[in-house]
Amino acid sequence: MKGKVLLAKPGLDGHEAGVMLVGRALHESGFEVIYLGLRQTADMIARAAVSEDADVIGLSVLTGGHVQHAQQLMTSLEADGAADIPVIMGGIISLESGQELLDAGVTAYFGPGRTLTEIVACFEETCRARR
Amino acid sequence: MSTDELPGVFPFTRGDSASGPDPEKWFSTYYSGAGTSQDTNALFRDRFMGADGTPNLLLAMDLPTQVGLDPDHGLSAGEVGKIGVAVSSVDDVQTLFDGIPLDGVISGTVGNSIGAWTCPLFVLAGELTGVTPERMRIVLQNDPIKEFTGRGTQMFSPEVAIELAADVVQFAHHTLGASWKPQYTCSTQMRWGGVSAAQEIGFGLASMMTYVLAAERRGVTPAAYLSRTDLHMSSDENLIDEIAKFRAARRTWAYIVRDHFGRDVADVSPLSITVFTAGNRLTAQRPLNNIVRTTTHVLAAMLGGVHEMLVPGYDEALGLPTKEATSLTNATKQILFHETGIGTVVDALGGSLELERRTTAMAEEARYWFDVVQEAGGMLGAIESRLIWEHMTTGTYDRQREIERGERKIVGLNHGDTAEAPPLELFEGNPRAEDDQRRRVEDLRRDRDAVAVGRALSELGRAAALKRDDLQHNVVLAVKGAIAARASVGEIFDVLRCELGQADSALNAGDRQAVS
Repeated sequence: MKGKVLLAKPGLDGHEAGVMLVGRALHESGFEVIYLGLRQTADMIARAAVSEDADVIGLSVLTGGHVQHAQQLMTSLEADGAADIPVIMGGIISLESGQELLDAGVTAYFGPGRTLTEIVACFEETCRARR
Repeated sequence: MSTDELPGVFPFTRGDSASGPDPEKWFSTYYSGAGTSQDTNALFRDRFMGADGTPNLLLAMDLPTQVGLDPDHGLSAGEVGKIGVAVSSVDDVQTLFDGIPLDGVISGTVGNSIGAWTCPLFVLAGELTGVTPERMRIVLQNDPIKEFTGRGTQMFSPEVAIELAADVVQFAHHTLGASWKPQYTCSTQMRWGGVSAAQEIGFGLASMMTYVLAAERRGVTPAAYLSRTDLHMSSDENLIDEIAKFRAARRTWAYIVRDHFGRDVADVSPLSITVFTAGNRLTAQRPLNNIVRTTTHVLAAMLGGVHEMLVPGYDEALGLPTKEATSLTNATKQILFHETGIGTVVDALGGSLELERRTTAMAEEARYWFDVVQEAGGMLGAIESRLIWEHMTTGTYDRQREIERGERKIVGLNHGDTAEAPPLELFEGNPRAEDDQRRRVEDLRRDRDAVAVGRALSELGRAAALKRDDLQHNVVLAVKGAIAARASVGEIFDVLRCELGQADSALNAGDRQAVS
């Protein structure tokens, strides 16, 4: 097993096709994947990441609220003493807001048109770096 | 072969009427909305009034509204007025249509989990401006199954959601005029999610059958139900397959209706198709390429005999459409109709050997997928077993792998000129929409008669409790009473959620699942 990935969709965004696709690709390349589902709060995600001992968290946001969700998750992870769990984000993310995500502490982000190969490689590298 | 068939005659392969669709309806349908009701009112006046035909202003509502939350609910943060307009009360809908007469437009919304609220909301909006329901033309998608198979705004169990939607169908058929379309089935989202053309037909018609049967239990006959509904499909990238798809969908449905309800019903219940062209195929890379893609999607819809088409802007992958992008979608349709002669002949390609071959193959496969869903226990069983999701994810995954291996060429993405294009000017919404909307709801709560609100919400609670015991009990009038007393959308759905429960992946509880 390459590592344990926790995927989630924060907020009200209901578009799950992207997160399902990434989950399938990670699973097929040898990761253990847990998908928490829709409408997750930052606290719920942080708590699940700790109790599942996740190696990395993947957040999917397609409605534009990604910076806010990233900041909230970082706060929750810190409160749970889990600030070391890396976070990777995907969705409709522009270059400028991508920089804001990196500033907030997100390890990497993927906007429209990026390949599954790139995304899987990023999760692999992130897990390796952590071990 | 359909070469012996005539348009408007069973099994309707060549068209649901002898004369074909009314092209005027092609040009006047818009799915739009952003920010507050004031912002959207300005947008409507700026972009759509004075266009060809009667404007059909289909409201895009924001996510909090679509899941029955007020703008000051914790989960609403960051989403108010974002992907659509925030509508929290009857005050907002009045603001939305300020200066836009409700008997001079067609309107409606796709909020699928909130149909039991949007229907009486429009009735009241008319009443408050002196427009009776008979003079209004309102189209509600009210298709909750769609939310469990891709769109994700579900808030009740599938059984409860289908019966709440049936309340609207029953109320509209028995109380409102024939100009109200209380429900139509949407297969677009499943297709965008990754299913094939034949699966889109089969799964879409399986949803539609679920609603026909729910309506029948409420005293609305299949023929009556089908006279006021459509199948809302995608129009996708393979031109010949898509034309075959629209023809095959009509034929498949005709035989399904004949098998279930008899030939008499099938003869008078042809499938009417509307379209939302394939926004999922529009790329963020080199977005001007999308104008050409959209042109072929619209072409397939016109040649396939569809009645209405919503067309996303070339900036779809980047945000809400700008005025320029919206104008171009109109021009696309207008050029294809006025400058090419397409659409002046019904089923112009009927009789082509290749098209007929594909139509027949597609219809046979579509019936297979319809039967697969029936064997899985209908759409309820297919939702429960995640059958639809399995096919969507597999379809998307296989396609994405083909693109990444270079086996499938997407121009501007992995083929042709892939140089980065200059950045587009994007739509900028009202950055203060969330604060503005919270203030509007604060004002509402301060100015209204609190006793009347309390009374109306108690009444709604009693109606919802009756529905909990008997799902056939209709709550639309009780919801209307609460809206009239100026209860907010969140207050109304809090009462309904309290009595009728929430779906598994609900408004505050996640549904954990392993991905396999």
